[in-house]
Order: sequence, then C-alpha cells, then structure tokens
Amino acid sequence: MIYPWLWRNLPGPTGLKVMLLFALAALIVAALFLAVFPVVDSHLQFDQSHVESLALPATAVTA
Amino acid sequence: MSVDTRPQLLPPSGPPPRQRRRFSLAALLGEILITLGVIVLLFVVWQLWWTDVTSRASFEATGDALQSEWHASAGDAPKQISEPDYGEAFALMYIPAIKDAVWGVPVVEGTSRDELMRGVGHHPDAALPGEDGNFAVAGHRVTYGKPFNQIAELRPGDQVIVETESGYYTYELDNSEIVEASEGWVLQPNPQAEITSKPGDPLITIYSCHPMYSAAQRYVYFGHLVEETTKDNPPAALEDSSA
Repeated sequence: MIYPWLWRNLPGPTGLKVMLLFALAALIVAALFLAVFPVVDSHLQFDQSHVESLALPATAVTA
Repeated sequence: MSVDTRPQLLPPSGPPPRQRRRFSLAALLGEILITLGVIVLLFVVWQLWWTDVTSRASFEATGDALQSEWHASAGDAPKQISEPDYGEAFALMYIPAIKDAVWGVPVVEGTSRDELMRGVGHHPDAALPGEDGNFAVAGHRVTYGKPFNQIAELRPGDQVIVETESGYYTYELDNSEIVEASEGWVLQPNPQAEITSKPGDPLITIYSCHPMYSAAQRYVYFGHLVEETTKDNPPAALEDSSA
C-alpha cells in the first residue's frame, strides 16, 4: 500500500533508499513540530486550562 | 535416444512471475491508522519535550533583552514601575530553592496561553511587585518550560525574588494550599486574611496546575514581602549564585 509503494518508487540502491527515507521522515517531523502541532495545540488548549480558569472573581479589583 | 535435446519452449531462468499487487482496503486502513498513531506519539513528544526547549530559549532571550534594556536606562529608573502592557515582560523571577527551574524567568503581563509560553504570567488585575496587595503569578507545572514544575518541593521560608526596572523585591513563602481550579479567592489582595498579615500588605501568590498533567486543581503558594532593595543593592541570594 502506501509504504511498499514509497519503497518501490524511491530511486537508487537500498542504502540510498534508506537515507532518503530518513530524510523524508525528518522533514515530516520538522513540519509537524514547527507548523502543525503548535496550531493543533492552540485549538486543544490542554495547557490553557491549567491556569486560565483560575480567574479573579467578578468582585475582585479591576485594572 | 532417451534424452530430449529439443530446445525448451519455456526457459526456466528469467525473473520470477511478479506477484500481483492487489488493492486491499484493510491493508491501507492499517497503514493509515499506524501512521496516525505515530503522529499522536510525536505530538506527546512535542508537548513534553519540544515546548520546554522552545520556551526555555525564549525565557533566556527575554531575560537578556530585559537586562540590557534596564542596563541602558539605569540611572533614571522609576521608584515603582508603571502598569505593564498586556503581553509585556516586565520583571524577572528567581527562586533560589528551585534555581534550576526558576532563575531569571520572565514575568509576563497576562495569564493566557501566549503569555505562559514566554514566562510566568502576572494577573493584570493583581498588584505589581512590591505594591500593597497580592502579586499573583501563574506558571506551567509541565510543558512550555515548566517553571513551576517543582512548586510542591518549596517549603515555607523559601524566598521568591522579583527583579524589576526599579529594584529587587524579596518575598518569603508562608504556606501552600491545593484548591479547586475555580477558587479565584487565592488571587485576591489579601487571600488569607484570617491567617496572615494585615489587609493591604504586599503579598505574593504563585500557583500552578495540580496534580501534575492535570488541570483539575491548583497548587498555590502564599507569601509576603520581606525586603525591597535598589538595583545597585541586589539581595544576597542573587549575588551568591549569579555571575
């Protein structure tokens, strides 16, 4: 399926194929880490609820 | 003549018959699911490791920028800093007891996602460092530099030092409490009126999420101001371990 297709279509001998696979994987991980995950995280907002919901009550001082 | 010498019609050598690649929905689905599983695992790695890397780098850059900004304007430093803009880093925090985690961490105005990625977050409604009232600060327990990861290891008497453009403010921690996420009273100007201090005293509240990896509760530490010094007179705890 996807991965056998990828393996067949990578050029060169086995060694080169392996290196190309690693390079491709690194590119994908970089794209996920730098672009995709930050956006996903801002929508999930696990972290925001860690502290954000502890808001000053309405009666508290205002700035 | 028992041996057949006629040329064979079908040569035995040559490539073996190619296996027919048949499309299989199950195999495709399996590969997609495995791929998604790996991506989810990578997301966890990103959250627990990479966000620390980027936030720590940001803490350091912001700290250096603030220090040089203060250095440049030294001499005409105000007596008390003015209300910072939302999102502005306006102070640095030092906690000697957990100095690996909190040593020059920027204090950023605001406590939503973006601010807590860049430091610990000061509640805009709360008092400023040294001011009468409660200097209330939130920080991540895990991920994004996790400044307050070891908040549960702090002990009463431990110091929290806040450096601003105008001076150093040394707070001493009094007691901790675990509260529900909705208990906003911990941020009020005099949160523990029945236990400590007179109303209006300069106090501090630092808090983080609790239990770790959850957002159900808050680990809160209360303290009070013990010392206020000028820029050319940093507290001993800072002098010992800096440089």
